[in-house]
Parts: sequence; C-alpha cells; structure tokens
Amino acid sequence: MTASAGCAFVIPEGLIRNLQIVPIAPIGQCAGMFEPLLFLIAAAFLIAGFIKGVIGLGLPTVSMGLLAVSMPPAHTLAIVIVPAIITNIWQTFGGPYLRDIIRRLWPLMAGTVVGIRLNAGMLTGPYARYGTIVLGGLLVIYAIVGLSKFSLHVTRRDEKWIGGIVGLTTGVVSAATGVQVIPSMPYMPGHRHGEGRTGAGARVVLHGRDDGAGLQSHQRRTTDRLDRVAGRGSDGRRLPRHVHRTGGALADAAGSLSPLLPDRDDPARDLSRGERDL
Amino acid sequence: MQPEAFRRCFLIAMILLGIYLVASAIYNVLAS
Repeated sequence: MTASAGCAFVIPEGLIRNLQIVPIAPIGQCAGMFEPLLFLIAAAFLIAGFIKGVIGLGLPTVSMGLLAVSMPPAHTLAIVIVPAIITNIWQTFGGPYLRDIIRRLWPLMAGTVVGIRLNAGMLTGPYARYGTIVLGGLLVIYAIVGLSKFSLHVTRRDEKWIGGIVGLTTGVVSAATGVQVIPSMPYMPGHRHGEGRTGAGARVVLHGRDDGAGLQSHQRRTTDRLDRVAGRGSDGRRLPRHVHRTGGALADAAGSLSPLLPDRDDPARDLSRGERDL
Repeated sequence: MQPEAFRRCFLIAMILLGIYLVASAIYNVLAS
C-alpha cells in the first residue's frame, strides 16, 4: 500500500468516532475487564523486586519461578523480559566498570548469545511442555549452589575459553527456560553480591556493573574490604570488633571474590600487574 | 533480619518452589 493510499484509509477511519458511527462511550455490550492473573503478576514482581532490593539479585529468576506456577515459561518470559532488561541495563550503565567487564567476559557473553540462538525453538517448540520441569530443576540447582557457595575457580589464562563454554551452555539452558543462572552463576567471578548489582539481565549485557570485574580496577579497595571482613587492618593487625562487624555485610561478597584476588603472599601477583592484565 | 539470613531463606524458598514446579509439571505431563 502506498503512503497516499494509507493516508486515504487512515483519515476516514479516524473520523469514525467523530461521525458517531462508533459510540464514544460504551453502551453496555462490553464489561470491564477483570483479570485475576494481573494480581499474581503484580505480587510476583513485588516479591522479586523486594528480594532484589534486599540481596541484590534474582528479579528474573524469582519472577520466572513464581509466574511459572500458573503459566508456561514462554508466557512467563514474555512478561518478565522487559522489567528484567530495563532494571539491569540501568544497573549496567550506572556503574563505571562496563568496559572492564566487556573486556574480561566477552567470551561468556558471546557464548550465551550463540547458545540461545542454537536452542531458540526450545521454549515454544514441541518440547516446550518440559520447560517447567527444567525450570524447576534449575531453581533447585541455583539455590543449592547459592547455599553451598560453590564457585568455579578459573585462572586468568583459561578464563576466555572456559567462559565461552560456560556461556554456550548457559545460552542453551536459558533458551529452554528463560533463566540465565546455570552454569554461569558459579563461574561468574564475584557472583553472589555482584550479580545483585548487575542482575541477570546484565548477562545480556553481562554483568555490567559486577563487582567481579569491577574488582580488577578496584582490587586495592576490595582487598581492604577483605581485610576488614577478616578483622585485619591494612597492616595486617586485627581491627576492633565493631569495625569487623561493620564489614560483616561484605563478608559474603568478599568471600566469593577472594579467589580472584592476588595472593598476598605471592609477590608474583601484585595488584598493579593485575590491573594491567585486565 | 540480616541480608545473609534473608538470602538463605530466599534460597530455601527457591528450592521448595523448584520442587513444586517440577512435581506439578511432571504430574501435568503424565496426566495429559
């Protein structure tokens, strides 16, 4: 249809209400829409947002899990994807670490994209009925991994190719369930609290503001945090008890970041070199 | 409640939710 023909059609259509062919006010044939599912969706996002606010992670994972109770994962994902992406893009670009994250985790991101493309039909194809089973299993694995604080320790040299494999696997799983936490979560350096700040949507822009990568440009500060958590000052002496307690909130984050930190006793892995290597 | 305790409760709730999802989905698949 040409542009002129389109205009010729649109303008009379737009005048239908003005000409009173269609009444402006409802005349009784239509009832007000009431959809109880909207309350479930609102409640799921309320809970997921609350959890994300407290511990800094899990909005898409929690909302996917809660909504999957009443609908297939494909429908759930269609509802979750916009809030998840918006909140995580906000977090990703709100921090100063995006460039470092991309330089370090690009194989993970690229692998995730490829994996999703490879398994793209899984969520809506003939095997979609099994999606909820896989999703439930993933939530259980996710929670067990989180409780056990399990994490993969990868050397900087192997980070690229292992990241690619992990990303590919994550993409395949994510395409089937809409949840992008396994196996990238145990792999992701500094995941537990870092994920909260970057969120799962940042696995699309993968962990934009993640502490794990921010760590590399802020190793010195994070090492100081570790010292405080451990109750030590920068000089290695023990800090007063109240200072130790103040650092307690960082304990988990620091614990999960610690494999990435240079060993203080290893002079070959000094902080400045770590920053250059990133 | 401290964030760490809250996180632990959240993860336990996720385990229960996951078990429920798996069980109900398997039931639906077998019933259909």
